[in-house]
Parts: sequence; structure tokens; C-alpha cells
Amino acid sequence: MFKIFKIILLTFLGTMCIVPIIYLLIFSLAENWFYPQILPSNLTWKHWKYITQSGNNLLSGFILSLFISTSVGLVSTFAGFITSRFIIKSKNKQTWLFLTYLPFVFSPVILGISVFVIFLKLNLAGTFIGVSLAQLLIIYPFATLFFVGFWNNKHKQLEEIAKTMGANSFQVYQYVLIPASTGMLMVCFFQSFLLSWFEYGLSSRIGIGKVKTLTIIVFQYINESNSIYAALACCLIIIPPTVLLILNKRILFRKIA
Amino acid sequence: MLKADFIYKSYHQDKVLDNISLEIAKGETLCILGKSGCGKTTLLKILSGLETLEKGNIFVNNKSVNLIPPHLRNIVYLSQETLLFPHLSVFENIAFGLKVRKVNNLEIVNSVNEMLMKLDLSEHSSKMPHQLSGGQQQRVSFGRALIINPSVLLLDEPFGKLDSDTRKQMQEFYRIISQKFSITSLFVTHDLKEAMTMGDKIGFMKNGHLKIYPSVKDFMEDSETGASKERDFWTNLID
Repeated sequence: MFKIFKIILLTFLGTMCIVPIIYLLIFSLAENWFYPQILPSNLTWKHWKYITQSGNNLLSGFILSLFISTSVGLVSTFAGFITSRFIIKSKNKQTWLFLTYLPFVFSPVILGISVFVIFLKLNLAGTFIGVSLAQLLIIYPFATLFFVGFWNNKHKQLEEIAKTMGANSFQVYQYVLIPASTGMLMVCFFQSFLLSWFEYGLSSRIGIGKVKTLTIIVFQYINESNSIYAALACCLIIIPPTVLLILNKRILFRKIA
Repeated sequence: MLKADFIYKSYHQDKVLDNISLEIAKGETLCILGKSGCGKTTLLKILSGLETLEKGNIFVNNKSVNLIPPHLRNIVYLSQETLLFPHLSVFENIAFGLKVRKVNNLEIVNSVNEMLMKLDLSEHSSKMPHQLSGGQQQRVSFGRALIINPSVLLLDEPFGKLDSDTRKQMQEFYRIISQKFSITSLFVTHDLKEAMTMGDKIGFMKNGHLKIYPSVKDFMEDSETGASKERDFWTNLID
């Protein structure tokens, strides 16, 4: 009985995950899909060919998003890793933690409006660096908080042993703390990447229409009621997270467990 | 040689170490007995430089090390847990101290292989720490410390987490290697028998005060150490 229930539940969950993806894929290939047809009358690759055509912004948006999310993911993971260590050791731990939580009090859009003038004066609005920095305002504290809960007495003891063995502070990170935390670093990078990849509020505000990430393009197509291209962009948008999920599968589902 | 003069440390208003002085000659082991919370671990961490001292002086081979950071003191601290680096194999764990000193690879390989042989660990060299027994992990931990030829070895209840048989084996093992490598060490324990058998000298620590006894007999006769009570208990039990 339990086995049957388990199979039903897994099938249900699997269907819930896969059906929207299949739907988006069919939608991106559809030609003349009108109500009440269950499936489109024709399927075509012509929308997908549009990606490679000059003058469209889907491919450039995809590459730009990939650059921004990879940079933001890497910087926030390593900065968060080191910052969290300082916070844990600090005498003013509570104050630092409060400041780290502060960006989450605002929604990304409100945060974007608040810092927009500064970005404008620094000539960072509408630039790749500006959008990356804006995203770091949210994702760097996230990575810091992610690692604050990670450090424990065992790490402290490993650090102490390494130091008395002759390792300086840099070597402690290089040979002990970073290699011993590879799994958590990868998970944090993965989550930071996802946050950056799907970020809309801050990116659209600071990007002022000049930095068009894939997420912004998706919203643009939706606003234009261009459902087929929105579906096409959505198909592109799920590729990197899916690849990362497959790469991280072992760590996410085995190592942490 | 290790010498500490009038070490003082407090946390907030509580005195943890109250003017502690000690001296350990080269190749000698000082065993300190004391209950949990008496300040033993704090003393070891101060000597190794992991904790700062408020007052006092520490000398290694007649040179003050007060201002020298832990990684340059050449004093190895081994904590209660047998903490091997979990991401490194037995070979890499033992090689750690040489690697951070940037010793060349050939020398590292030769030294580590020699150490593995001395510790009877050659067949485990490629294993990861979780694949070893408690006693084997402890031996790797000693090998990792001894390979850098430390001026002083600080041992914080090193066998506290081992079962009684393994503990006995490791005590014997330590006695052999401390002679073989002529180790200068400070061995801290809360086990009376261990304290009496492991050291050349014995001390007793209570409420931040340390008393070092000229002989085991003096230690036995001091009612504060609880050694005479323990002896009487076993004598009465046999009678």
C-alpha cells in the first residue's frame, strides 16, 4: 500500500516538474495554436532559428546573464565565506548579523530605487558592473548568512591545529578551510547563481533598459503579449540552472544528507 | 626547553590562570592532572599562542615567544578530538606541516614515508581519515605533529575519547615515541593513572593554580590530588 502511494506521489511530483517544461517547449515550437486545440496544429523550428539571427537580443541576453550570474555567484560565495568567518569571530557578532540581514528588509525593487541615485552619480547605472554590484547588494549578504550557520567548533579546531603546524592565515584558508568546505561552497555558488539568474527588480532598475538580462527579456515579451517568444526565452532561462542542478546533484542530494 | 613565568588570564571577572609558572627540560614530559574547567586547555592554548595572555612570559629555548604568532612558534597543540584534515589522505595529513613550510616534494615524500614506517602506518598511507580506527587516527595525528620536529608538543587529553584497550595501547605507543623522538611535551589529562604513568614530572591544577611535585611520592601524599584516596580505595577493595 505504502509502495503504491509512494509511486503515485513520485509520479505526481515528477509530472508537476516536467509538464511545465514540456508545455514551454511545445509553445516555443508552436505555429497556429488556437483555443480549443489541445496541441498546436504545426510545430516549427523557425522561432528557435530566431536566436541565431542578427538583431535579436535573446542570445546576447543569455550570454550577458551567464556572465553576470557567474561573476556574482563567484564573488558572493567567496566574499560570503570569508565575511561569515569574520562575523563568527567578531566580538560584535550580533551587530554584524543585524547589518547583514538589513538588505532583506527591503524588496529588491525598493532597494534598487534607494540606491539608484548613487549608481547614477557613479556612472554605474546601465552598465554590466552596475547591475552586478546591485545584485551583490542582496546576494552577498545571502551568501554570508548561508555560511554563518556553517561554521562550528570543528572548523575552529582544524584552524587551530593548522596554525600550530605552521600554516599562516592565508594557508589556513588555502589548504584547510576551503578544501574542507568544497561541497558547501558549490551549493552556495549554485544558489547565488540562481538568485542572480532570476533577479529582476534590481537589474531592471539599475540596468535602465540598457542591460538586458534574459529575465528582463522574458518580462518584456510577456508585457508585449508575445507568448511564443516568451516561451522560447523561458526555455533558454532554464538551461543553466538545469545544467548546474545535474552537476551539483551528488552534493545537493548525497553529501549534505 | 619550555619555560613559563607567572602566566595570568581572566575572562571578565573570573581568574582562569593565576600566576602559573612551569619549566620543562628538553626531552621531558610534564603531566598535568586537573578536573574539567580548571584551566588546563586555556594554559595549553596560551602556550601555543592560540589565546592571548594578560600577564607573564613564555620562553622556548630561552627565547621569549610572547609576541610570536602561533604558526611561527613551533609549538604543536593537539586537541582532545583526533582532528585529522578530513579532505586529506593519511600521507597528505602527515605531509601538511612540511607542505606549508614549502619543503621540496622529494624531501616531503622521503620524510613522510619514513614517518609512516616508524608509526607502522605504511599500508594505510592512501586511506582517508574516516577509513581509520580511533587508534590509527591518533597515530597519524602524532606523525603529523612529529614530522616538523616541534620544540614542544602540547597534548590536551589526547586519549580521552578512546576505549580503554586502545587508550592503553596508545599510552604505551606514546611512551615509546617520546623516547625515540626525544619529545619535549606537556601532557594534560583528568585521568589519575594516566597522569602518574605518562610524565617525567607531575603537576596538579585546581582553580587556575598549578602545583608541580618534585616526585610521584609527593604527589601521592598531597591529599588535594585525590591520589591517596584512590590508592586507599583499591587497597580496601582487595583487603
